[in-house]
Amino acid sequence: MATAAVAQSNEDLGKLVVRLTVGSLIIFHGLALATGDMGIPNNLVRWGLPADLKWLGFLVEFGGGLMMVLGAYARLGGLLVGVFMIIAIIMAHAGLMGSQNHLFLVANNPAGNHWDHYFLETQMFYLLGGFSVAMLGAGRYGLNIGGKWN
Amino acid sequence: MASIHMTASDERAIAAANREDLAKLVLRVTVGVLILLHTWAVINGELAIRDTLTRWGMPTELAWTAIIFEGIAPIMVILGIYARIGAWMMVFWMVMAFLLAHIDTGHVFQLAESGVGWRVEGPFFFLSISFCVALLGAGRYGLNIGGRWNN
Repeated sequence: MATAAVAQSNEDLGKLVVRLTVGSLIIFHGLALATGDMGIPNNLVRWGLPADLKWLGFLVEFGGGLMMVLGAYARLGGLLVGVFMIIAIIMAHAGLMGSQNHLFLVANNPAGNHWDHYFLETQMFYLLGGFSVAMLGAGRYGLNIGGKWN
Repeated sequence: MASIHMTASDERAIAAANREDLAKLVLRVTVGVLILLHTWAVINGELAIRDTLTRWGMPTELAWTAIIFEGIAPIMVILGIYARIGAWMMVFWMVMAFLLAHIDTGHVFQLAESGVGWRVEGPFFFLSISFCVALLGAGRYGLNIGGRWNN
């Protein structure tokens, strides 16, 4: 019985760590967007869409992130972030409507002296991390709001 | 394929277990494949790790341990061969990265140079998703070698 209980709590702890990581890191992006970062607004305008649609992005980044962190409809938050990242990659990184195609690009390190990572590394972490939360659920450690959507 | 004795709630439980295993596969492949690009760069002479070692007065040859901790370890994680051990090796590697390169430099207290997001977002993803794999195990989709050290 003891080993099964430990395995279960490890499982719940793992789910907590994914939620906290993906959720809290994307909240920073939501805050940047709300305080004037032009990345998303510029892309919207390039696609002929109103820049104010950025508030939908804010809702996903900040709200979806918060849902994951707290464990309130966490699966829904993860799904929102995953779908949002697919839209972001299509709009900003796929070589469409005047964006550059980063899909197959290996990029330089911060010092600029050697290529060392996939250009869309963090985007992929958010995309696949979000979908993982949607599939794993929140586990035991959280507010536990939302029934099967958590 | 479903037996006639299977109830709707059995089927729901199986679907939930399948989703969990799929999520574990997604996390393993994501963290494993993305870090292998960094390893390939180290093998090809990338300087970041070597510069850090020099700054701490350590031999730059230590950079070659990358082949073990961010080369062999992620392959174990991706394939499902003692994946939990591979993941703990990656956790150790990333903890060392934070201790040697990102804490005394103040990176952990900074925003990214673009101003959007945390400066060490990338390294932190590697650290914490590896930790997750260590805790969650590999799930069903993989070579399934290593018993409870894999899954």
